Amino acid sequence: MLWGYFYFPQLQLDILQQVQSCDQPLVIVDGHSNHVVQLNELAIAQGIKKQMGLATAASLYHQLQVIPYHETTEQQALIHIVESLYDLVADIAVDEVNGVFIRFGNMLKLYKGLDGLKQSLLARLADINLCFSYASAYSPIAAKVLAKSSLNQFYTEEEQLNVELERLAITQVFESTKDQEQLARLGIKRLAQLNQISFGELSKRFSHSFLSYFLQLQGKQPLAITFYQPKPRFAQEIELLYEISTIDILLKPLAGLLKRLASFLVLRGLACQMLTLRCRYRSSDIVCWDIRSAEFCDNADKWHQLVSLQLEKVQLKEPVVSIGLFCEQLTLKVVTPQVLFGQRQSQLTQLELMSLLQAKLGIDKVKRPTFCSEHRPELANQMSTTLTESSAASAEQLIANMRPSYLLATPQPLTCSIDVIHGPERIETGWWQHSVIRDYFIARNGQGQWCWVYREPNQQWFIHGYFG
Amino acid sequence: MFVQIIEQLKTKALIWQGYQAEQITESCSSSYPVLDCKLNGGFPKQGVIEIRSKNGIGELRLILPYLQQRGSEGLVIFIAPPSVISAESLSLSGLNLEEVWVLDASDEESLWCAEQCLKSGCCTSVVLWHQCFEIHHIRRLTLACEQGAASLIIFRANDSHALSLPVRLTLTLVAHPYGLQAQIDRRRAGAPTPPFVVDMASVWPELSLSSLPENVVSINEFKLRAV
Repeated sequence: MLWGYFYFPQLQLDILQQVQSCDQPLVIVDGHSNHVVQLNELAIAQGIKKQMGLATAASLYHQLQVIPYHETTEQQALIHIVESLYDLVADIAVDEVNGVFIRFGNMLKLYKGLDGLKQSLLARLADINLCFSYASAYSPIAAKVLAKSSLNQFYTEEEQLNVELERLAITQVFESTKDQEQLARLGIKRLAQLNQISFGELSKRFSHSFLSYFLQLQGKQPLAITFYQPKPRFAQEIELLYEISTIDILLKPLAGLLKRLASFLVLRGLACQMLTLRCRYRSSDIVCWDIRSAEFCDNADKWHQLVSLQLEKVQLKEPVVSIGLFCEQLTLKVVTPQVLFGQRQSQLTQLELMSLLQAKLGIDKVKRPTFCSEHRPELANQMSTTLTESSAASAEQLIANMRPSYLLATPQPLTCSIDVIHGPERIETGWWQHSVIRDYFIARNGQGQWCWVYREPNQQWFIHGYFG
Repeated sequence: MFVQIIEQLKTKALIWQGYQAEQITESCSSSYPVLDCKLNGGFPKQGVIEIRSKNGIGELRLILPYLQQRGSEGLVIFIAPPSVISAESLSLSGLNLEEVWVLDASDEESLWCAEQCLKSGCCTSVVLWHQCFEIHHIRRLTLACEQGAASLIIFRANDSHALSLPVRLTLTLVAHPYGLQAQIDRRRAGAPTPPFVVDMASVWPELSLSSLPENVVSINEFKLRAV
């Protein structure tokens, strides 16, 4: 079975540079060994090399920007890569930290040979814009070894692959220092030398782990690989290159995250109504915002607009060091038909407009008037905040009485003089909770306003609305 | 000198020329014959309409038939009303409540909301309660109206010192026993009119004094009787 391997030597660095451009020498340093593990072009120009100690690197360029190596960031990025390749190849798996296994064997029929598959994979990876190298082989470990040596070819002929493998130094094939030492002691410098020794001889001299690795390299022993299964939800987090304390600047890295969300959604034909944006402050406090859309949306620009509207009023308490975007509830995207030859080409749908307004004003500020069968006017007229909910009572149930168009939120004591024109209309109800006995009158005040007033049994007069 | 002044007034859309009268957009009947006659057919279907009026004298009743007709084509949105807009009264006036939204917006937000709603294209009429406008606000709102083929009705207090705005139509309303006394202060491609009375007695007999019922008494007398 033919296998492929993609090796990403500087994943964390690439991701940092995708989100924010960097114009200074920058190195990523492993916290345990204090060695430089990844570095950008500018740092290379300063003479800094991989595996160099931090002190040496810093002495070469004193304003060097140093970022600690973060394994989980790379793992997340790998998962993201695997997710984006998943629709091209079915059997794909994440290798420990910076590689991806792909089982080509099952896919060759679909793509009519390796060339088609290679082209679509490379085109997809070019979109992601990462530094990588690749190779193929008849065992996953051999593919990995060849990819790490930057072969950058997919060969299918076994002889060719063996030639390429034997061309490698033995230290490139066996990575553990213990194995390397042992091989050096035996004077083995090439893989061909090792192949000439019989397995029985080898088992006398080498440890069990070495032997199983060697067998896996030759494809004689299978490697346990758990293939990737797509997750039903979206969750991504990025570490910021520098601390951000204003929303305007925060929106820029966020746009990158939203684009990833959009590609995640579009690939799956999904859409979502709510996102959770999680920001981690410098003091490790976490703040979350829920961003809602009235319609199911999979468009990065629309989400960006909603996020910026909702966040424009927000003040960040402290500088933010990382942002994450989470989306739990996803549904299948439904495309609403648009009027093709209508007179008015509508730019937004009602739901889009509602999302915009809700993002700006707040969810509870966009309302639809509804009414229910109830005699008390303050209860009969309600405001619903959802679009879908229809009136509890239909228009036919409405008592055709005069009702004012402006209803005061709380009745005000009547202070001015009025002329009563119509009435009374007695409303007596609610004995089970808030008992109401009111005689309503339509009246006109000195300024010509038509008022809706009522009198309580204790002869107190209140004004409850105006007929606009 | 005069030419300059006239040019300035033209750019601010404060004067118009006779040939522009042909460009009148479609109008929509207000269902009050007097008003339709004075307005040459009714309220414009598109553009900014300013209504200077006190709240609660019948100004909403004047535009409700118009809103009801416009509401059949798209949303009608009320922005920052002075108090709760009663669903019952809207429904009684024939408005489809599914197509009515009410926005609680602060002064600064309400103009933004109005612009977004107008240019969205899914909304046919916006009713806005807002006092302070500047000329560039009206410009933007007019553009938004054109973009979304919508109309904006602005309710303002009847303040004679207020700035004259380059709107399509300005109406001043005063309470009148028979309904309303209206006056067209300015309109595009048309002359202002002297005050005239819009009789609402036939549509809203309960809310007009044209035929005083026998049983009407003043509140003071009523209170005396009650005691």
